Amino acid sequence: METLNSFDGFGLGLRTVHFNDYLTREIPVDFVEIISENFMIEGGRPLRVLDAVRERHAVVMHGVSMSLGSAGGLDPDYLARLKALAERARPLWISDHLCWTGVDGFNSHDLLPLPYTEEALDVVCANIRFAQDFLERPILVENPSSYVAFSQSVMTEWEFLRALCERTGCYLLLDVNNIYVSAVNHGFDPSDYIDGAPLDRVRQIHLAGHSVNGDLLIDTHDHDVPEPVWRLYETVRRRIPEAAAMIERDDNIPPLGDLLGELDIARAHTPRNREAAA
Amino acid sequence: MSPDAHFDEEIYSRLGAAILAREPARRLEGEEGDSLRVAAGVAVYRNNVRAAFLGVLEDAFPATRRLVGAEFFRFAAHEYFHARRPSSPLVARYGDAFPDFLESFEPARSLPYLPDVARIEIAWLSSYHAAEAQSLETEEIVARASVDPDRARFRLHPSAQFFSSRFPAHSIWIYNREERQDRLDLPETGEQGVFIRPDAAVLSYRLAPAPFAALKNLAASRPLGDALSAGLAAQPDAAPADILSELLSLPIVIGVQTPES
Repeated sequence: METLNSFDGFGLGLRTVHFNDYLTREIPVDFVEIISENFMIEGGRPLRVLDAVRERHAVVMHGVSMSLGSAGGLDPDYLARLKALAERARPLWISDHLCWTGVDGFNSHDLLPLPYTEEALDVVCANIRFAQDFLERPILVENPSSYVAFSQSVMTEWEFLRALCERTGCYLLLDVNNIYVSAVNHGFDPSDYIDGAPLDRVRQIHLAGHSVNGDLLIDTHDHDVPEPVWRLYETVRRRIPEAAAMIERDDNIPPLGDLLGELDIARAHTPRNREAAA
Repeated sequence: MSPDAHFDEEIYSRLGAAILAREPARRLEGEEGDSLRVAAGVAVYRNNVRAAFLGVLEDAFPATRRLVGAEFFRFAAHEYFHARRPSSPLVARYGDAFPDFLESFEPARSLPYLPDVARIEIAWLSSYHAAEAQSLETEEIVARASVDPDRARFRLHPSAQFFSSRFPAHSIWIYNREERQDRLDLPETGEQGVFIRPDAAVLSYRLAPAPFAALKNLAASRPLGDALSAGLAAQPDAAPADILSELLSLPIVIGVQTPES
């Protein structure tokens, strides 16, 4: 698989409520992330907005439906639509999650957890290879938030991700909030994750907020990025100087100006930027 | 392939079944930790999935939701989730069967027009996401069809989506979609029409029975002469010239084919 160059910058997700902002003024972001499925349509306003945004910004495509954990393989129709969208959006890269989304005719459209076994590793590697061959490019795989763990697992998530990168040549989208959420939910130390993950494969970083529900943290993307996630982000950025970092907000979406303000906080929490300012 | 290749799928099936089940699971074989903790984790997935599908329906059916209220809508969405296992790989199509579901949904019986309002919302959404195409100007259509108007066939815009109801469902839809509060005077007749998106915005046209029937015939690739006859059959007091001028005023024709062309 080809090498994927780093892209260094700060970005935001393109959300419907902000379409007018992007059409009417210059937005100070280095790149924009689209949820691929929201643009896998024949025509209409979202695609027109995408075309206009693409004139001014780099774009990355982020999907939620590839289902890399599917034992039955990937859906070629889905991949064909994804590839057609990529021809239009000309993204820096395409990403999806380390998860499965459906079984027995049920499509949950949720990011469901995998057991980290050798068998699952074989399945996911085969799926990633299939996707990369089909799309003719390496993909980025994102670490999920999870709320259950499997007794069958024989390796950690970060070991699983390392094996995926080594075997398939894929890259990583590291979601710092997801590391924090899963660490609290499953009782591991997030610094073990960061020490063990193949950080040289990270091309993109997600930042987001979460909710607290009893003992569990839930990855809801409906809050500001909280302090422990910023601290973890700083640790990560000391090891990954070049990456595309962004705030993910999918619910309770504030005005674009608020998110741009939060993106400034991300810039301030990036050690390289702080040192340059000092 | 490893000898126990079905191993993972069994785990998937168990978690999938626990998410789909009406009642929350007390424990789940194969997951790590004490059973209360596992149940809490599974409950997160159950809630996430239900909340996401509810959100898809709320986005797709704003007028339907306003008509019944947020709480009833949530209840209907919950019952729909259990009645029709979500299977579409495209989440945006999840609500396609919702109008038919409402048709047979006993608690909604007192609002007989509700399924038609929901159908109008599906039609609007289909028009909104349809392919782009350039509509022809009236003069262009006339010029191209003039060789043999009766036998001319029209290609319609890919965003054309028809709606019809024996209730004034379109008026009810607009009133609720625009979140209006003023007094709504409803006609006592049914309503029919078409959505077209010739440019960025979806336009909605309410039509009399004659042009509506004529347009449906054109959409079915019938020639113009037959379409006008169908229009007259649907509304005997209509004048053919009026039907034709109404058809030509819509930005809906993107191609004209005559036997010679």
